[in-house]
Amino acid sequence: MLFLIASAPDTKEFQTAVRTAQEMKADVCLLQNAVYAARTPGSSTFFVMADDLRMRGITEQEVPGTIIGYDRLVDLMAGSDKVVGLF
Amino acid sequence: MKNLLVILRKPPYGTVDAAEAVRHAGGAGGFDYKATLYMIDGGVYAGKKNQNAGDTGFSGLGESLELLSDEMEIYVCRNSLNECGIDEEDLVEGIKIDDGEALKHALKNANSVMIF
Amino acid sequence: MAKTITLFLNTAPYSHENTHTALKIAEAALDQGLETHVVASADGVYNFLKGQKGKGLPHAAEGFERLMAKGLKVDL
Repeated sequence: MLFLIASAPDTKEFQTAVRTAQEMKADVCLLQNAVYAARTPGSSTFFVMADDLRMRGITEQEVPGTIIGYDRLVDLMAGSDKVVGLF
Repeated sequence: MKNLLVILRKPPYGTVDAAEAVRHAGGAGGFDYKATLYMIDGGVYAGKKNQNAGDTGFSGLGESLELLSDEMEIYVCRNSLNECGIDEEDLVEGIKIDDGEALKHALKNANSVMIF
Repeated sequence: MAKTITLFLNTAPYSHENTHTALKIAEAALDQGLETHVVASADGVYNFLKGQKGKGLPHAAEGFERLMAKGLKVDL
């Protein structure tokens, strides 16, 4: 199962999505404003969209998670039994 | 001359709010307004250095803020910076950090307040 | 049977970043040879209006027209 999360880290949507994904032991990919959360150590198991980081001035060195492009995201989506989101 | 205070609470790009806040604050000068832009909560991310919209089609906001800081006061809230894990040196040039006094002053003196 | 990806887009083109994300995912999926659909509902249908003059954000109609020429299937 793959959760796609796009909301900013200070929103309820983001917090609910992350909590639910962790309870379901699902993969998580951060997109859009959710990538601001990629700078925290708690997100080291997450996939993070490279384009959305670059646009926001966040460097690869700041991100402990796995940085991916749209090509890899499509692989993840096609390979998952279920894709949940965008949150 | 009238005072306009624009408060930005949302991070850039995910929604159009940040772009609109910067556009309205930047345009106010042409209508005899002295604008102040105040970034708080997730809005402080708009002041981050090295934003690179590349060929996405989005207008980059970091550069716009750096240019606008010559003609208006631009503040970020220190508490929000801390919550977002952004250091002073992570900000584009020209943005001032506020401990709360500047916000009170701007609210008191504003003829109009726009919140994004 | 080839895999199919279907994206559900329900937000207006210039208020959110979802149009950009949907365009990029759809393009990558088409490039991989997947059958790719966008289902637009609610405010999402505004992405497909003619005569859009948006600036400073990705142009929704131009982006989707380009992908439809590459085989993207769209349902409103």
